[in-house]
Amino acid sequence: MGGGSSLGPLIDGAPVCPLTSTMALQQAQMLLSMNSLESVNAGVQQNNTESFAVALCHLAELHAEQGCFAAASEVLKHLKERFPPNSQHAQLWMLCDQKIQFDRAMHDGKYHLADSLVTGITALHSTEGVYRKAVVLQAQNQMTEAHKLLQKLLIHCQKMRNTEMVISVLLSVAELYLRSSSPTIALPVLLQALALSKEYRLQYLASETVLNLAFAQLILGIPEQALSLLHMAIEPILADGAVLDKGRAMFLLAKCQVASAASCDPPNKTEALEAAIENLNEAKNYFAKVDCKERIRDVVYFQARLYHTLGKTQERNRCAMLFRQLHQELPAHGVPLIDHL
Amino acid sequence: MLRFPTCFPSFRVVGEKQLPQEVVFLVWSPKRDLIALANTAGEVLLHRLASFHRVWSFPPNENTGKEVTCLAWRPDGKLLAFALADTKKIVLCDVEKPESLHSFSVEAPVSCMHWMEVTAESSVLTSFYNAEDESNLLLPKLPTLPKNEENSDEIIKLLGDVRLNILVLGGSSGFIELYAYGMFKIARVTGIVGTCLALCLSSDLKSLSVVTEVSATGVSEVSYFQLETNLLYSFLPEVTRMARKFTHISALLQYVNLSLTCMCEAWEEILMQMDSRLTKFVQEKNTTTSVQDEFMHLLLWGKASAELQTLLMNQLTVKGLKKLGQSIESSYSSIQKLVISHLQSGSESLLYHLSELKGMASWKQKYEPLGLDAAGIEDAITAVGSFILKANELLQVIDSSMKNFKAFFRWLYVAMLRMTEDHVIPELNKMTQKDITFVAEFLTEHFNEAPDLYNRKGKYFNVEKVGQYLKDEDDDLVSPPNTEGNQWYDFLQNSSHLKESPLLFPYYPRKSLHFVKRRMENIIDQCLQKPADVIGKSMNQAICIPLYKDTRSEDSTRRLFKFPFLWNNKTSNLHYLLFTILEDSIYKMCILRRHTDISQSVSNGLIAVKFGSFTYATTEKVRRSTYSCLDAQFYDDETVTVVLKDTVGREGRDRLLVQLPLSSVYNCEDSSEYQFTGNYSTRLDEQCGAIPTRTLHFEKHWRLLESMKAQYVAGNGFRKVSCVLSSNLRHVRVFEMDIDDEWELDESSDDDEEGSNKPIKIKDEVLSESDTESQVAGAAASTPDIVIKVEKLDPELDS
Repeated sequence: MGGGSSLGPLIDGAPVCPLTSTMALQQAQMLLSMNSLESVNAGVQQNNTESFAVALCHLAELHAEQGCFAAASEVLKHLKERFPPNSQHAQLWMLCDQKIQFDRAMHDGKYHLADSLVTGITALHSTEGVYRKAVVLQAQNQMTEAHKLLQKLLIHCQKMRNTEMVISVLLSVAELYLRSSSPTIALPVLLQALALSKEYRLQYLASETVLNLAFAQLILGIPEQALSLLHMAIEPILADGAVLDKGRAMFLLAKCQVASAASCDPPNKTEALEAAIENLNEAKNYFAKVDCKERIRDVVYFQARLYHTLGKTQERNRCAMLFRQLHQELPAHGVPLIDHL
Repeated sequence: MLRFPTCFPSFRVVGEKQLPQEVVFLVWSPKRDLIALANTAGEVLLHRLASFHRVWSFPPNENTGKEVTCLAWRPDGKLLAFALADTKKIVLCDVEKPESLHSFSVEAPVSCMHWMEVTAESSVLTSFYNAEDESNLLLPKLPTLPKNEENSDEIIKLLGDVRLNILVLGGSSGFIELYAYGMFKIARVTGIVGTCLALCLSSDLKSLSVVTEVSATGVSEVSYFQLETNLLYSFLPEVTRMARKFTHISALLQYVNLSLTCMCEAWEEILMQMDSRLTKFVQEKNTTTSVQDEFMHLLLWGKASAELQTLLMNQLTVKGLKKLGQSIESSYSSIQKLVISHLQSGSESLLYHLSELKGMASWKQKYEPLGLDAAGIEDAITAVGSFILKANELLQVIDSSMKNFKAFFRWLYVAMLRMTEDHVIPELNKMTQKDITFVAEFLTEHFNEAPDLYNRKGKYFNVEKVGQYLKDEDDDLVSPPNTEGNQWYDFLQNSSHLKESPLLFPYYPRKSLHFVKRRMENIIDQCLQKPADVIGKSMNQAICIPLYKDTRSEDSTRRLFKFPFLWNNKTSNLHYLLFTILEDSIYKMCILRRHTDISQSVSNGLIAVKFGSFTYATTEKVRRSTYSCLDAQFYDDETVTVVLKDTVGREGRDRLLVQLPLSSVYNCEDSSEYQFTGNYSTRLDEQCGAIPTRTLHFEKHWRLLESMKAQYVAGNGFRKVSCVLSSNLRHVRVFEMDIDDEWELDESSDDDEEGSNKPIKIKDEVLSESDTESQVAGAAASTPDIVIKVEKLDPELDS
């Protein structure tokens, strides 16, 4: 699920719950500029408040989400200076730092690295840690272990009424089912997640869920339905989503377009395939922003296939070459085009 | 009685009125029995069919304008739009009450309008509507402004149904603009020459018909254009969604603007008193000590110099100080309230909608062809962010100013009471060391003489810091906030990557709130303008047919009623154009029709109609003459309502109202015989002979318009009524058109009319005397005339 929980709570019990990342950005910056006029006669320690730390952490996360890693690490460095490791609010940025590192490692396909970060995260925030552990396990194809862990976590979060985490866990469970090619079992889980996120007005998680639902429909062989469902989810994701999610949405859109073009007559089919290639280019750009080579590899493979169908040899060869390079770097046994979002 | 069936002609008069002002425009509501009129006095009037009773009138005023040029109803009949030539404004008005709900300015005076609704239904649209609900759930409801004519909420309500409706405006020198929901400009068409006479956007959104007139030395040439609007057609869901979003955004922008105006009004000049008094003091004093030192002196030793004492006691006075303190507090707190509850929540909603728009724009496949530009929208988001930061800064300035002033005034008040040797209440007298430091700091900060400030603003001091944010000037702030020591800004300044982060909103420490707002407005406007240009450019002129030369010299206001008339048949997707060609000093009516889809052709594209004879079926008397077409309008998809002039008819009995069924014009049996043999690139009135002419004879569906010099007609097939207007533009007569079609039923219809005479009788009071005789009831008396005429005419025909 990667960036799925990117809008998750920073502190247990006091979640920062913005409408959208743009709104979050605005709130964070407003908070930061808040003390500007009084700091002159106030003590130096005035700004070392928890709210200041939270706002800065948020800023770091938002930058990391959009692929501005240099800026994010700068913010974290500043936090480190301001709140030394043993000081009161230090664990805020420590958790934030680890989460960003974890996400980057996951994007890059370095699961062992991500796994090593889990311990640190668990120490700071147990729920978050367990969740991340499950995500790593799932990525490493240890489905049974991941499933067990997620079920435990789900019960715990439901008890704690941590709704955001409940939805995230439900999404992970559904993804697990989807990866094991049982979309029919995934559907009720996704619908439950959708109902919860609508009820608690978690717009972004709702969009995520819709994305997964569309994917399930694609696997079930109803790409037209998936396409019309995607119409609902794509705009909020493109507006406020993490870069990776934007890429995933565009990738899924392209897959659905290709799948639904299968039943079209030749001229329409060509048009649909060309549109899909365009969307794949978009997806590729998004993935490139967060160095998600594994996904770029998949996109390039898919593009090569499409170009082949369209008879555009030159473009096909270019994509195929790119794929070859990436494949040597990140070998995969059979490209899993359809088994994950 | 049956001998003279003309006593019971087609169409029943249901209302008649002499109006005090000349009517310049009239149009029926598409859904109700209401007719909207505009007159030369600049009033817009709404009348009800029943006895032509006036429902309301919208008087001309300075704000909206005085010269109404045309009217258009929204297809659901709930809104009426009218254009004003003098102010170049379009006003939208609720059918329920004569109040402007929304108005906007256009570049050129508008000469014609057309408001259409899209027929296509799309399941995608419903999901859009749900998405809109979401923003209602997520965003707090904006509080109403203290004084407002247009609530932004109302505007959103004005949007009405999700289905797209477009108001098309046309004016002089090729000005054509399309407004989605009558509010947001989605296209500006370029490349058409001349003044628009008529417009019609087909409801399938495939093409736009335009009739323009290019005048040169008293003669004007009228041409027909068909513009292809395929972009609108193929991107209908996207256009709809974009237009709704845009309307939200511009409504919010207006809300923010109004909030700012309210804030400026809450700030009073009195607040500057402190600055001006101190400046005067500096100018008049002859000591070398600075003002700051004088006050410091007073603070520390409790004694003031003679000059300061005069300033305080004689000019400021204890009473004045009290008043100043009160006005500062009341004005600051009302500004503060406005910033928090209106300005901030308004701009946050704006940010939300813009970020949604960004999501749309990033979906390039869907929205890039429409000219939505993601980079531009990101700039707009950043600009709104900067504005919010600025508003927040103002809030902090107010906050600290209120605190400072309170402490300062309290101290000064006590000091002044001491000078007058008044009794000082002990609570007031208590001053801690902290209070003294506070006042001292305030004095150092604010009471420094600033000669360069004097050069700029004519004052030495800037104690009052709120006003500078609310001034609509390009100047920098007089005393910008001190960001030194703010760790966030320090950090940001010293950072290398973060400084350039596109996610951060730039902060303009030296600029006023107004400046930042204007900047934001400009950027947003640019974003919203671009699609209008792109869509407008995509609308290619596909067909141009020169129609005729018009030498009729009539003043421009009367022209509005004139031909040509455009109509869109929604079921068969055809554009119809009615116009007249002058041939042998009579006006011959021609009907041009084209398929809305430019690539498709239609049979009988051009046909002329000649009105041959009017008979009374039962008597078989023939009324035959030559008829000139005065006005014609589509009544519904199958019928055209025509006003004819009998060229030999006696004054007062020479005008006829006719319902012309199109089925008889486009008779499929012999339609192949009626083909236009000319060529569309040459002006049509030069090739009259090539236009096939169909001569039609009427047995029913016509009526003589007694004692009325009828000139214009407006029909409404939905309510089955028509309104005829005399050539002096003051006399209207309303007809019900759907009375029995069958002549055989004359007798019963006669009875019906006798029965329904009562309401007409009541209405008689409002009619002028001269007209009473032309009533249905009185028609019997005038019948012999007609018979005589028929008899007179017959021999002529025979010979």
